[in-house]
Amino acid sequence: MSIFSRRGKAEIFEQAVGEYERGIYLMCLRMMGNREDAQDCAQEALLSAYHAFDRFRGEAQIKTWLYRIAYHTCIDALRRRRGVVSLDAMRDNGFDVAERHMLQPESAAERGELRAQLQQAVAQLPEDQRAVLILRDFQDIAYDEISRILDLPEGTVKSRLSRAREKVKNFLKNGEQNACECVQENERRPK
Amino acid sequence: MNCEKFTLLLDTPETERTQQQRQEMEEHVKVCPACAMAFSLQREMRAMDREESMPASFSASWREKIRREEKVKMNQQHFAWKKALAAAAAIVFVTGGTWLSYANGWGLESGRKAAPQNMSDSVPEYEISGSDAAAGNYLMRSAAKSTEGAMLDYGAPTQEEKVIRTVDMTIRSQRYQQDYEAVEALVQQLGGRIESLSVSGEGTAESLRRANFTLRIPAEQLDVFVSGAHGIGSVSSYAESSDDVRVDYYDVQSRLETQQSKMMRLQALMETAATTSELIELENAISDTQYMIEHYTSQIKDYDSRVNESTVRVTLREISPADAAEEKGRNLGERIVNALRASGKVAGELLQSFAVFAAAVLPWCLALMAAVVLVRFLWRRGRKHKK
Repeated sequence: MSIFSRRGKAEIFEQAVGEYERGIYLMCLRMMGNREDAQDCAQEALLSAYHAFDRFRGEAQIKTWLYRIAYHTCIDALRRRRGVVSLDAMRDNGFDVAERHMLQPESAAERGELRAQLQQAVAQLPEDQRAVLILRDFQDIAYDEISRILDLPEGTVKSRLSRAREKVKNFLKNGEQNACECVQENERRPK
Repeated sequence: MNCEKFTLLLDTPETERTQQQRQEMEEHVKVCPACAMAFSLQREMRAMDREESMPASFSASWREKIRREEKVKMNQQHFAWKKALAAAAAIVFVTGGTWLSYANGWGLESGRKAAPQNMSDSVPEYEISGSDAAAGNYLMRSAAKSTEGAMLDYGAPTQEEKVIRTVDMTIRSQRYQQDYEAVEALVQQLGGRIESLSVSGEGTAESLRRANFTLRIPAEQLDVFVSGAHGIGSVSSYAESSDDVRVDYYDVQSRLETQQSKMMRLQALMETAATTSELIELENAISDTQYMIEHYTSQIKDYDSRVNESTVRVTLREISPADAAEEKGRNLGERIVNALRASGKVAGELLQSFAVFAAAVLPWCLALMAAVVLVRFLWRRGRKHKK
């Protein structure tokens, strides 16, 4: 607390966290599926971290600590939302589902379609698998760090990632049929 | 490269892959469609994050919120400090005021300092029984004595005070020989002397020893001696008297001076005496005057001796171990009762002093509050007018 009294807690927190705010925002974006919710979640996570900053003892890396807070904030928000993003909502948010499945995009338009499909595929994943996929494939975070963020053994992280990748591939191959199955699976999962 | 190694590399953070590994991966995806798809998907996902822009409003928003929170918290802390300071000031004010009221005797007719002029007359002697009562009341006596000194100053006496102090004390001792030597050592240390001493007893259970000292202690060292004596054995009784003989002393002195001047006049007359009868008459008068001068001088010397050297009578009594154990248990109860009585008395006096102080400051507080209310009223009215 003594350093806070000299320089101001907010200033120190901004300096410590500034480097990771983009990563936090992107994680929330992929978890929540739309920008408004992502912004709200990321903000809530950073404010929670700010409130808990006095108690942060440096036992974990600050990045791990922040991502863990952001992950739990997203999970809470998704639970509050009670369900997953509907395909209509995704379309409304600009993530159009492509009719064709392009794994080797040639043009910018094709790439845009692929990304929309990818975003949709990610949104259909169960939350635990989605988090692993986002941290590993989107944000290129190493397994050991992911296991610390999600508080899971590395083996569990690997197996969840494998399942998540498989589902994404299937989604891209089979389109909305798979998406509907994923939605149903998510709805069956205990909250 | 096979698919297994490719998957392993795919799960390695990009920054940890070597150039050669990257090349091998590029070559492998050309021949393996399944790995190509996984590779392509991962690349695409990372590109999505890379190319996604973070809204500027987000960054500004959370920063502003935490700064606002910090400001509110700092204001709260300042307010808490102000409250703590105000409380501390109030405590100091009330405690200080109560103490002033207690120390100066506010509300008493002329305050505590205006107690009877000659306190030695009103509290001339302290008769104490019981060892711990003696110790406790000794302090009280010292305090009274210092007050007495202060009070005598108020009268601005022209004559130096002449107080004869006499102390009688009985010390019960379990270690008779050591305590006996301690009394002697204390007397010697303070520049006093043993005027008389009588010793009796054989140091057995049937015949316990006893020493009666009559000591002459320099008056300025008396308090030190008494204090030191309380550390020797257990004081079972203590009596002190202090007699201010200044009136008698200066009366005798004045008579002496009269006689001395009379003597000088008589001696002058002797030189002018013409007849034998005159001479005889003058001789008789000189003889009588000389007698009176010696008488008054002797009285003055006696007073000086008693004033300058206080008389202390100490009885050192040996006690048996059985008596000592019994006395210890009894003394503890007495001490507790005495301590309770003393603290109750002080608490009562403090409460009274607080009530007096509160009554004294109440009009001022009311006046101050009225002034504050008036100033606030005028200030608000001024603001309304401006609006």
